[in-house]
Amino acid sequence: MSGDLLSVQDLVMHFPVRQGVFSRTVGAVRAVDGVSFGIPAGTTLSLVGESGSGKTTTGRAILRLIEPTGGSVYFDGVDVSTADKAVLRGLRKRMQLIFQDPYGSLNPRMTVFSVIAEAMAVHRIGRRGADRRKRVLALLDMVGLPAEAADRYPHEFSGGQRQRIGIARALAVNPDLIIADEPVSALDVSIQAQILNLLIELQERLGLTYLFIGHDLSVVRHISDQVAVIYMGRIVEIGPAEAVFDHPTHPYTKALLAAAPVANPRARKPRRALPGDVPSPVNPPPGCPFHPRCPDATPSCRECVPKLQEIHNGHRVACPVAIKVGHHAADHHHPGESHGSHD
Amino acid sequence: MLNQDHIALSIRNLRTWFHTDQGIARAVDDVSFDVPTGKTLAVVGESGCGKSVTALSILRLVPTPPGRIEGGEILFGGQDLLELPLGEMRAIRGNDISMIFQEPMTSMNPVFRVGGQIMAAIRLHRGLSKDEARREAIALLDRVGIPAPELRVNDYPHHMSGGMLQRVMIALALACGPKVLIADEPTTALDVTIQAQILDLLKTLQKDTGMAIMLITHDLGVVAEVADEVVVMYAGKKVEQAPVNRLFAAPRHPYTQGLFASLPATQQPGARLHTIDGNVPAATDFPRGCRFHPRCPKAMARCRDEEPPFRILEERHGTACWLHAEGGMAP
Amino acid sequence: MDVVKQHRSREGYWRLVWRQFRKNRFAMAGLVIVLFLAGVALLAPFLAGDVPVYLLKDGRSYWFPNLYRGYQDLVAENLYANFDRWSPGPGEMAIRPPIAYGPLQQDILNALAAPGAKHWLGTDDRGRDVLSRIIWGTRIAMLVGIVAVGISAVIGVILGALAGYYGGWVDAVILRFIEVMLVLPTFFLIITVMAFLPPSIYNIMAVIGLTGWTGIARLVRGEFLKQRRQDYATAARATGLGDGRIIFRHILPNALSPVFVSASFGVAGAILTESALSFLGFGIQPPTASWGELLKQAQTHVDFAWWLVVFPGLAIFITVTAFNLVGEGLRDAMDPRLRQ
Repeated sequence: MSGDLLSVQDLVMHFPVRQGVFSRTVGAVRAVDGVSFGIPAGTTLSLVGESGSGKTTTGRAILRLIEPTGGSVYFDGVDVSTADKAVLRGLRKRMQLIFQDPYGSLNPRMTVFSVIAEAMAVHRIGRRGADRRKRVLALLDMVGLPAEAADRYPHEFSGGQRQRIGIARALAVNPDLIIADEPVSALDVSIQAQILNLLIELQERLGLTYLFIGHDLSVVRHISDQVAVIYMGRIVEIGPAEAVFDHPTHPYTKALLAAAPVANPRARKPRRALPGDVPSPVNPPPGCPFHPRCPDATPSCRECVPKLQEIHNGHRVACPVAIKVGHHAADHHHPGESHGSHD
Repeated sequence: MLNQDHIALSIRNLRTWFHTDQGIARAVDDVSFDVPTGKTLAVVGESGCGKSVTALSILRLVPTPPGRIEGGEILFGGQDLLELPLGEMRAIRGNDISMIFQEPMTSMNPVFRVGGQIMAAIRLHRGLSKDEARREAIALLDRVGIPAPELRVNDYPHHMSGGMLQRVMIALALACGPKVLIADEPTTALDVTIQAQILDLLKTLQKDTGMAIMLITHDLGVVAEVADEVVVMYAGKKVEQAPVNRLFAAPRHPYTQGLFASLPATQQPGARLHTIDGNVPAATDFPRGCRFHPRCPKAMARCRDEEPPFRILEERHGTACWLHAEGGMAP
Repeated sequence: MDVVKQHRSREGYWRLVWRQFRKNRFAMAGLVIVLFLAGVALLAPFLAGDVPVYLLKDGRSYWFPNLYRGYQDLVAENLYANFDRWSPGPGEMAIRPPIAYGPLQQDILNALAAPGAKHWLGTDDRGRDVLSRIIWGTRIAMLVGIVAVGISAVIGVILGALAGYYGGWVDAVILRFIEVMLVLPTFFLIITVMAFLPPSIYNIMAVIGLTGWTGIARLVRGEFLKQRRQDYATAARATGLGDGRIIFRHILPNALSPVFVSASFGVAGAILTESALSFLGFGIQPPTASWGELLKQAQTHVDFAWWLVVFPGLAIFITVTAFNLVGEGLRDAMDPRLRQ
């Protein structure tokens, strides 16, 4: 994966569970348990999963806002996971974060101008006050806010406008990579569309690379080049967006797609709703973490954790059972091409 | 118009306003619709459109002050709920009309066992003995699909996942065999696989009990899945109402059309999404005339000054828009 | 309530708090009293004293000898200490404060006079005017209250912020320290310390301030624990800001509201402590007028000279109540649940 701007290898994030007077460690929450992926510059990879799947933790661990337990993260060839403070500071300028909650992510006591200009001051962008002001206004304009917005406080804005402010703050330091953590999940449908358009437009204009974290499949499909489906801290399926959405192979991906409501009452279909709940990440089930809920589980699924195997150009699935079935229907799924290697 | 017998709940010209320091927020302003027996009516709209306030007004749970129901009628079983003394209103809440909320975690009291909370509701409204109530609570948990209900009845709310708790909330709401269930964004806080379970459960329960469901949601996908009839609200007004198939096939109000067009699922991946310009206005600051006109691509001079009346265009499909006011009939 | 949340007012946080505060009549009464007392403390030399505000003597004008004690002519005549015995001759003139008695000015002939036209609140056993002493005592009370709480607030905010922001062992050490401070009976600690220190107003302020910070530290720690998890704090870290800037510029302004509430209760507490110390003789030393000292003087004559007890007692009571009312009003006004 040499051409990737961001490359994550075997990222592990375990949170210790402590108990008792002496805070003995009695176990670990396996929030992220061996996640690998790469994002080529200028493209978007989405991490899709339900709450508790580890998608947000993955984003924070990449930025080292929390210290990962294991694995490595390469950004533009530099190992982020071992970078010292000074290097990390430089890297943070190039990797920015956009948040889900437009209410909590802006300091309520700072004006929009100071929210945006502060990031520039820290990284010494724009020498004089006048330069910075000009740049802040340009950024506001870029995200579709009027210049008057600069001297107002966050509570004077609606959710969608605040999300625009959050995007302007992220753009202030000229980043290459933006980790967008559910940036439209808290917004109304009509506003969600505005923000998605803005993100796509900015990508085209500035050549940004996105790691998009989301749970709404229709949003993810709209914005992604690649999609990684994550369940209990592991990627169960990853590949180009068309491949994953048009030929979902892992039973969990299929269930997710089937469960998502479709805005067409005539397409109402009897569904096989996925039974049960996501198991506790402190005591994950043995073998494939999905097997207790899986409609296609076989006894062998309890035995070992399945590895991702390539079934087609970059489309990889961690389910030997589904791949075997897929072999028979392979011509239907990927006409005219042979399968990738099973290493 | 449906036959009176088929209407479980009828809301007539409801106006609920909030008297705040910034002025009067006309959160619900002259809204009328019927909830048919045995069917699901979805009230759909974005945040601040007044859908939740409508639901709270039905049970008279609007926080007063600053809120106040200024006028209208809520007809249930031939009575106007707004005229009832508070004691009789309490007997209706949770008994004839019950409600479930978005956040199951905060809707249950964390210091009591879930079984105890269901039993308390059963005993309050139905006067059963403790043992009978316990048996009934276990039966209810079983009915909403909780595995090993005779064990889970002793759980505390924090022992359960969000999906489980929403099932418990539904069990609690069903405890007294309500005629109407008001579900305020019941699946918004849940993951999609759990959401699918809960929506299926609601449909099954409705088939079994024949209760009417009033579903408050912002998610058009959920509407398409479960609703029979849809009311679209914007800025405290009902802007469109239609049977679900008709609404999705041919929305008439520009706002409804805009909502559908901005769904990513309806577009090519990566393409520009259609958007509705601007932002939802604050409730204290709704525009004159049609409240949607500043954001409406089809606004005319008239829309700025005169509020459009709600007009029926074809069978059971109506809208409040000057574009369609000429041909329509008064409801 | 999605409707209520929609309000996008142009008001800043403190304007919102002020609007809520204004609705509370008791809190407003408290605030009026506090402002009045602050005025009395500031203007004490103009309200009570034997030194004139303006003096015309020997054809020369002296402005504000009550504030400026360096007029050489007056020093030469030893007039500053003896204004009570001086009266203007022909062509001379003096404008004195409305209560024309200094707090230290003795008048043995008029000792233990009941309240009347001359001495509105009576005199003590040395004939000192009680009202004048109460007015000058206000200065001491306010000074002690505000400086002591200022010291507490600085220590409490810094330690609480460090504990809450860094967590881990920093938090553990600071928490243990707070617990040790809490275990010690503060008042007896203060008495013990004051027994070793020369009794001066500065020592009182320092001792009260250095023992009273634990409450504020715990409040600030709690706020920091909550605030540092907010996305805006994470955003600040992701931007690459240093810890100091995140703590003081980002989180602290959002964590300060409970400090203001606590501080207004703290001022009331400090004033009470100072009065108690002075009453017990560990505090402000006579003849300086402080409310506690006044009460102490009153002990001997309590059987008939009721005015020596009632008026200083009332002053303490009213002041403490006023600060408590302001504190409660602030707490209510800052409570986000009440904001609509």
